Amino acid sequence: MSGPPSEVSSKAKFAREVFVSRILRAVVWSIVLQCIIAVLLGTPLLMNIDILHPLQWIKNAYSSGTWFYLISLGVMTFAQGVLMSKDFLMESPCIRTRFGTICSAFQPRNLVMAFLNMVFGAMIVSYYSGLLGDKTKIFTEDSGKCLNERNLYLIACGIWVGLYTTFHRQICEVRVVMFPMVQQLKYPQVKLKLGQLVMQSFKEAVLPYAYFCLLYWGWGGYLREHLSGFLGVTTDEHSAISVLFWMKPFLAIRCLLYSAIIILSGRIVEVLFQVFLTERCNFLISSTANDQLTLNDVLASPFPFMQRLGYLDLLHVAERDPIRQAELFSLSLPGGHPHNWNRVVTEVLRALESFSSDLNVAICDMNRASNGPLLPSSPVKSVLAESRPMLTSPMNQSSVTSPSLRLRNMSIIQSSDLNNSIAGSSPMLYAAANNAAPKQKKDVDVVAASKQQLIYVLQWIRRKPGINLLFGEMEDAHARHLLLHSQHLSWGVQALAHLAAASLKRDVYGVVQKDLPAIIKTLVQLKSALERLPLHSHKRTMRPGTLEIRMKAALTSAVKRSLYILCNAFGPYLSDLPLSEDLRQVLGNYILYKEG
Amino acid sequence: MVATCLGFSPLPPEGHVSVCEIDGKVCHKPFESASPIEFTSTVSGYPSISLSHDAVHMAAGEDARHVFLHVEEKLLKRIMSTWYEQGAIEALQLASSPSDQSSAILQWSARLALKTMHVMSLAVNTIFPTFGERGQHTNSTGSQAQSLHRNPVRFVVWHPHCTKIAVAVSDDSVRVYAAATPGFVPTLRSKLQRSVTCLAWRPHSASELAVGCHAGVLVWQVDPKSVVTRPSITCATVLKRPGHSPITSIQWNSTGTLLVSAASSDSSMYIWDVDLQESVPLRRVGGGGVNLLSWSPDVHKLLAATTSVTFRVWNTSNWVPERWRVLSGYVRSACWSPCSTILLFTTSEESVVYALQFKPNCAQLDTMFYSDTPVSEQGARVVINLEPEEVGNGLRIGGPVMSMVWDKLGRHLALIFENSSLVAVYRTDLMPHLLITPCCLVKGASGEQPTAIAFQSNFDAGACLTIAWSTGRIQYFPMVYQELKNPSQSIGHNDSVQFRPDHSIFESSRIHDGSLLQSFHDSFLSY
Repeated sequence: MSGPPSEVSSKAKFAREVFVSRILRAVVWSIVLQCIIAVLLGTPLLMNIDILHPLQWIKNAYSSGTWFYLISLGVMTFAQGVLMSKDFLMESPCIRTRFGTICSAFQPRNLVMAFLNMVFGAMIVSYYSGLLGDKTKIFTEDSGKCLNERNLYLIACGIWVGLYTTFHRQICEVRVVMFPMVQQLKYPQVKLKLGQLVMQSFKEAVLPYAYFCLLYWGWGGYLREHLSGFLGVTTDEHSAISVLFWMKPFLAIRCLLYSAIIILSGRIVEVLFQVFLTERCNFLISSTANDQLTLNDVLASPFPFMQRLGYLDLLHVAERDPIRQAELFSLSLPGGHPHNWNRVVTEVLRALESFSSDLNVAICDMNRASNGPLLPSSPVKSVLAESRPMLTSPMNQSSVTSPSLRLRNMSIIQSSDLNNSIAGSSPMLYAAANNAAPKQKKDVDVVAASKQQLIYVLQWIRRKPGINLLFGEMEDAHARHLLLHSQHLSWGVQALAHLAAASLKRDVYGVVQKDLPAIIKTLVQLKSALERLPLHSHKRTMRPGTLEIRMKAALTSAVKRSLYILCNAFGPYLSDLPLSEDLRQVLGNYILYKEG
Repeated sequence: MVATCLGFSPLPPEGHVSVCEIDGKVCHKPFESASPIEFTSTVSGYPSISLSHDAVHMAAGEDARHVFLHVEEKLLKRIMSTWYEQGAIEALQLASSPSDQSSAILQWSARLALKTMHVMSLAVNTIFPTFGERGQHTNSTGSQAQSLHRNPVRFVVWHPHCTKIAVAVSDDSVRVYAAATPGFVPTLRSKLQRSVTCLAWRPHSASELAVGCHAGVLVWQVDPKSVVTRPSITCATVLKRPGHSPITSIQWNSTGTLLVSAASSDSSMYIWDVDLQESVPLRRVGGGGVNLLSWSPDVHKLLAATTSVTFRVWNTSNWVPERWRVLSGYVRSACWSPCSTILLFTTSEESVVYALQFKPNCAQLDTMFYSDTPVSEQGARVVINLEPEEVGNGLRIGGPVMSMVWDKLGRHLALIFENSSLVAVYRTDLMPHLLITPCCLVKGASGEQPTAIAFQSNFDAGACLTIAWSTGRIQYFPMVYQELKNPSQSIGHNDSVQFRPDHSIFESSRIHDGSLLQSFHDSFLSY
């Protein structure tokens, strides 16, 4: 259904424009907000206030240093925003090992970001110390050029917190854009989140500062000596920090405050990005001109961000916008074809089916991993196993001789390509299967066999406890990755159900009816895939589970709700639909409200 | 035209109770043999619920004084024991009340002290609106089942799609009765679940029931296939936020995606995504704690009434509120018309029902004509004057309304009062404009007071009003209009029967009152 190349490129350009304009607005507002916070924090709180000279406050607060800081802050925020925009535009790839996660944190973009944050940290310390009346110059000129350790400590703290926050976000935090549950105006959103962020920043500042204290305690002397040696200056004795330096409350509070401000500044940029990018957008259902971006185009967009905006708008149309619903159900002129509806339903069903099949693959991976390794415990054993004649088929392996396989989850068996999947995942079995090939091939496959040996050795090494932790594949990584990026699918599921239910009143041409069986089938398949996914929260009431588990609950609930909506609307007519017996049985529970 | 407390059908004779209404005629029976099954089979499979005081275990922390016999004591000793057990304010109230033993000086000084404290609390509450409202005793001010702690039943709510009713009992348990499983009653109880004030079934779900209590909101999963009568707390999701308690009102939106909760001590109301266990607080300056919530059926508007004269109607598209004020008191009960254009509400001080009319959304504009005049600018108007009136047998109705419910088709409005043992049912008509006329009065047994009322959502033969009486008896009061013409609809009413407004509203109007046929049809179209 894609149009000519010029039309496609103009639509892609328009989509990019939407994204870029939002990013730019977010960046500009980040800069404005950062400046406001800097001035607000700087003016009344941190300054040396002389009650008798109030005009002096303003003079101090808006000195040339402040303006320099604000301009630098703006430049840094802009650079940060540009670097962060990729996180919002593209979906992060699925990383299956911890080592991969660590490696991803050291990408050039992240390194640049880390550098910027380090500079940013030092700048914040310098600016706020200046407001407090301290000069944060590392060198003092009182008795010759000396290294001021106290200032070195503060600057190093700022640099460390900048570095720490960058890598902590990259490695430990889930990087996914979550759309808000209610679409408020931007100002209340920012106001609410800003209040939460201030407290959160102070909490988050404690740990990096504690790490910094430990590091400085262990390595501070080296830093001081190397720096003074490198620069050829002596250390100022008056500013030397004692061993129990962290016991000085004023210094600790100041460091914590600077750390919190550094963290807060980073979070503000993130929040503003999220607020601007997740704003709902009204798309046209059908366009009069070829270069106009319609809802269908957005749903099929290659940019995940635009897709999500499309799904959000589709849910809005389905739940609240009967005028656009009628347009969606209308026929094309000329021709009289339901192109609008067809493209929407095709795209949403394709996405749902793709998700279900990906989830089934992830479930197979997880079950295979949890049912015990099919690999031998050492390369030597693997060679022996290779020479065993009895192991000629994968099904022999899963006989009663293997206790671990007796507990195999039967969901694996449901997979139609059972043999392929097992052979593909298990080099040993794959090799065993190859043994059945004619003997003459063995000579040719010497290189391949040695490669297999090498793979065995690598796998054997990888299974050693410490190495496995770092390099071993996390069996649920794929499923978790899929669930993390499934918010738009729950909107799609509900939108289809609401549109189908609304079609009883508003679909005057009956364009929805033909797709009802496909919709129901897709929803039931998705529900069964989600139910088979072995990801559960153990202590549900005590604390919320991880985001992936909650996303799974949200998607499952959305699918069930959608099936109830369909059964409520079409209950009396379901017998007229061409559905399989299994589907009818499943829907029977929904009609009787027996499905929990 | 403003409806009044006069013009209802005659009350039943002494010893009789109202049982049902068939084709506009109220049927009465002696209390001992009172059952609507003789007149209609529409409620034949419904669970029989009677929760007497003996059957209900007292909740932990509940005032246990009523189980002891009253003993006459000297005034000073009584004041001392009251001060020791209940606090200074209660002791002062006791001292200020006129009695034989108290002297005039004591009464005067106690009254003076109370007035001073009242003025001080007013001043503090003006600056900090939620300051004086924390604590368990404020549950009663916010809850619709207010001042009824000693009644066995606090709250009843029907499942929106199937014949299943949840009952909040005074022992802080919630019991779920289903017509499909008559002998099986899951009881939801937990240490976290104290002072239950409100319940809400999740739409488009068979199992999820939200329970508002002192600790927060518990969303229980009552699996219909499970045979466990006492589900553990692991079947519930606990939603709570600091300072957001005690919960006084909870509501799901009609699509079942969002839950909103309010606490009288918190000026923020929280919108919850229960599956993601995330929340968004919504707050505006002024008004104090949020007391009552009501989501319009089309999910476009949300009423949030505070504990003061202020109430707000939020537009849920962009979550911007419209601010309104009542003359005195606070909004105690409210309900939306099925078309979401009319909001009826009552206040704690006045004996009237107000109507607030909103401009219909675009969904309704394509089916009916409507003036562009912004009706909401004209303000709320009185639609029922509830000045107390005697209606026979020494019984009176009227006064401040305790609870008000409107049935899903917008045909019946039921009210219970603070000081009346009768349930007043009005007939309502939405087209061409709101018209309210008295319908019937429901009388319980001698000494019974109505404590909670609810309409069944999926009753397709008319309307089924469910009344919880102070004795713990729960009565179904069906108002059936089409049984004689179409008996098949009333027989075999079970879980599988679907709610189909296109059939029920049209046919019920045809049989009930021919003159209203056209207006019924129009109201459906507008819906």
